[in-house]
Amino acid sequence: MRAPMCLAALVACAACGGEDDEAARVPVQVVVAEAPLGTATTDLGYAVTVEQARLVVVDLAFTQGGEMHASTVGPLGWLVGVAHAHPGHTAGGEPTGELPGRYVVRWPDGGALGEGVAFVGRYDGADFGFGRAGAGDGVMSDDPLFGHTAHIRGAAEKNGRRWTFQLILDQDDERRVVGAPLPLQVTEGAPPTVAFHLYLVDPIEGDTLFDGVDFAALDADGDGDVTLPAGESASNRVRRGLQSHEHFGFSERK
Amino acid sequence: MRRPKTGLTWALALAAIAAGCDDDDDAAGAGTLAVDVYGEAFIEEGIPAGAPGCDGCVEDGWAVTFDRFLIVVQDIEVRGAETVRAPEARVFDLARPSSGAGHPVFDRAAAAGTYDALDYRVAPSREPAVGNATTDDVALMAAEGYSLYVEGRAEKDGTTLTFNWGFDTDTRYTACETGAQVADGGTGRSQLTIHADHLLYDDLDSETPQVVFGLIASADADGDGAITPAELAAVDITGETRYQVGSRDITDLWGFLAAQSHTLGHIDGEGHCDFQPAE
Repeated sequence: MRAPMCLAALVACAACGGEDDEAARVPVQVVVAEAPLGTATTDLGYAVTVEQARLVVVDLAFTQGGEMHASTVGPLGWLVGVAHAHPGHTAGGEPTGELPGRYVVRWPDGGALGEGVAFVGRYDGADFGFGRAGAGDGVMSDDPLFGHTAHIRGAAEKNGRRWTFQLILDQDDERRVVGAPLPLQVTEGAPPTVAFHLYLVDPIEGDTLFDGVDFAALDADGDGDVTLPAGESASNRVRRGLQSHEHFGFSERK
Repeated sequence: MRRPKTGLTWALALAAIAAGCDDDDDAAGAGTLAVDVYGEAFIEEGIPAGAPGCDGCVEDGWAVTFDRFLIVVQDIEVRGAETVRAPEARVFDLARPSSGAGHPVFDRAAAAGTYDALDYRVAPSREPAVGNATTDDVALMAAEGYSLYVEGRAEKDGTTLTFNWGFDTDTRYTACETGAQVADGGTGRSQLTIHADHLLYDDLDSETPQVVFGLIASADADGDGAITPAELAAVDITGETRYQVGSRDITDLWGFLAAQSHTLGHIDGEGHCDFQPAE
């Protein structure tokens, strides 16, 4: 009974290459959201204001038809699973749009990242990976971001005391954020512009990017200036947040 | 509106068609389709100590052995020349030696041909049957609602730590790429392969995880030599360089191990499955 099924499949596939199946491709402008990142009150009671966050991202993919889940690539890269995530975050969708390449995203400086492309359709999510800044990214060797994935500077206040801080962190090269919200309808003849957001506060659960970071404890010399180097506990906490789709999003700019 | 088709979509579709058109599926007659479950030498003999970067060992010098490795296997479906189902839940102790053969789950009369897809589930069951485990072990799994129970020891530099951890996780392993060939009058086999070393992986997403025990060993807060789930749950992993979790809401080591427990199932050794933790 297999022969009829195979024949039917072959007939079906004979149409695969037809022009009728060529969906329209639409350019998508990706820009960096310009709104101030604001102030977040952490679980330890610090009011953290980020003046600037810079992050090296690579290969944005725009996805359609994902589920309300977080897709995970297994430890060997081939065992693909699904883990529960949060409302508003979709993942596991089909990547039908992209902005390939590497970019230093600067919040809240704004600016254009580049022109991607997407098939017409309804988009739900975006995925992207990480890189490390180099001279090719326009980052000079004396820049604290040089050789790293992210550099964040700002200030934290608690009980009348204030600390300025800068934080440096690295992400593994194969790490990707999966399922950042991207509510977007791509329509033929109407190229959209989407803004890339960084959220200090998870819009759904209220967690902050700096939860667990005790700025006072990190200020060993009491000078009110704190540096959080890559690979140390405080930096690792923020690093974890920056792997989560909870702290990123995209919005269409009308 | 048509949905755009990607190269990957069509490649998968064509691969499925090609598999479906295999001449072997037209083989006449019948034979036996057998399914085994096997924990490999890692579970039967242990995971040896090694140095960073070693292959097939615990990279931070701990040697891990399992005295019991109980697992509830159920909802097996093998697809190919026909569809063979074995829904019943059975408890197996994969720490029992099998001389490399694994432990029989079932064998059934089946149409001759190729069987290339298999699903199975590891989940708690209220009334599981005996696989190769003792009746006491079966009662333990049912009473505690465990899908997986691991009991063993870790040793390093003269220190011995014990653990006995029960997990109630529910995981469906689907589209496992098996390759059982049932010849007329012959027997074809598929093997549910359980990879214990994944429990010791130090990352939920990395393509290059390490197999380590050090952080788990450090969880023995009361110093009694037994690492309990409560002690593991008290370990905050959010400041760790490793033990990354992506977007999952996991902040402690017990939650991390539970998430890793979803990744143990494989097929025919190193064969691939998709896995879906139940909601």
